[in-house]
Amino acid sequence: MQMDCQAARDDIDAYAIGALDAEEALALEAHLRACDDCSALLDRALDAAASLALSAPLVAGGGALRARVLASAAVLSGGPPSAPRWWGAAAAALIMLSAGAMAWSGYLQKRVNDLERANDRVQASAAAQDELVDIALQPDVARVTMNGAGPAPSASGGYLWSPAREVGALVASGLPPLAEGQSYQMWIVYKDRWVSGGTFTVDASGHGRLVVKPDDAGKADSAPPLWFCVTVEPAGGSAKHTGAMVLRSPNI
Amino acid sequence: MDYTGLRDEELMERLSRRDLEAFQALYDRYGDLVYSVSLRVVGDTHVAQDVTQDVFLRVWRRPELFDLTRGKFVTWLLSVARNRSIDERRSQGRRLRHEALPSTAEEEDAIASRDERDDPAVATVLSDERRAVRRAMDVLPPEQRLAIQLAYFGGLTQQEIANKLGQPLGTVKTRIRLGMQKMRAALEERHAEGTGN
Repeated sequence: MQMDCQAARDDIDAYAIGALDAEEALALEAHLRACDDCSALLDRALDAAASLALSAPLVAGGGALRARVLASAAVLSGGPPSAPRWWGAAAAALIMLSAGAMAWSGYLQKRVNDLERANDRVQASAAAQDELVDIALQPDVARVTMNGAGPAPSASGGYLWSPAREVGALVASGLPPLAEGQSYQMWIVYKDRWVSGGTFTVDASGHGRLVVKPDDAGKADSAPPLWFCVTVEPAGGSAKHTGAMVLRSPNI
Repeated sequence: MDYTGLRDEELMERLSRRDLEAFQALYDRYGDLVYSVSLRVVGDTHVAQDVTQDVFLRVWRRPELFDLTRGKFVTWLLSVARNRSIDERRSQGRRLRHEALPSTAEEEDAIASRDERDDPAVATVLSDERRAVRRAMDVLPPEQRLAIQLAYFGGLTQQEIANKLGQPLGTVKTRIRLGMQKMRAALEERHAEGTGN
């Protein structure tokens, strides 16, 4: 039987704070779809219900949580997924032009090649992004905040890793630009040795990212890592750390 | 560019263009609020941190989920935080310490008085709005406030509240309805005063 307005109004506040069971909620929603007056009352009730969240005691989430959230967002960011479609449209347009203007064919061929290379980069970026998302969403994912050190006191970073899959993702920001012939190198520090996690560079804003693969992360080690850091090394990385440390995590 | 002066809606518009600094500004503005709501629901700092991260990453990945025509950003964000926290509370069941859920009006009073003890480091966040809500809650009889808290922060239905408190279902329904009506009236009166209507 269809609910009448009086019965609906008796339930609206409970609905707004999620206190109706599923059957009651369905009955009310059916009434609301047909009754503008009761729908307007629901909007008021929802506003009041949303305000209830503000009655929670305010507690600081802390700097570590902030760094973790911002690092995860940076990890999840990447190139626009629509780029390959853009390339397809552009390439099609170029091909049509070439048919009508043979003199342009060499130029157009170069453009297509450029676009194909750009598309390859976009595809690689999308694949890298998928890897990062995959790591961030692993059920055993662990996280640690990294703080600036040595010549980069204002740098910060975060490292996410999955112990089960032995992969990780580093996100760094505030790192100074590198001199020519240098790269940043991440290290995974175990009790008896340092294992390279790979090298990376930073953009003009000092942001850098690195995906650490199983082979990089010291797959043979059964003991967990003690801490992580980033140092400045010659381009391509060093077998053993030699340069200044710019990021370091606390002990795990 | 200084993002601190931008409105929430402007920050969200920038978020849709993958502006990480806008995301950072939104987190700095509301991260503690989201964490606080989640902690109130789940009662566990680690779970509350996970929920907070999840809420903000949803905003980052799907900013289009916020519909400007349906209200203020902070209202939407806190609703997402509350709903996500309730889901987590239900999925984790007994593994969580449910100390946030009072079972008597006296226990609820203790929580209500604790509500006044915000972390001083973050107490200025939406302070006027939070004060108004607390005043509106304070004028409610304890049993009405308790029923509302159990539903909103505990995720319980009216029937579950009745079972928990050993009260007739009709009594619980009345408490929630009257309590919400009073709270809504108090908030709308304050709003009317604030806008000069």
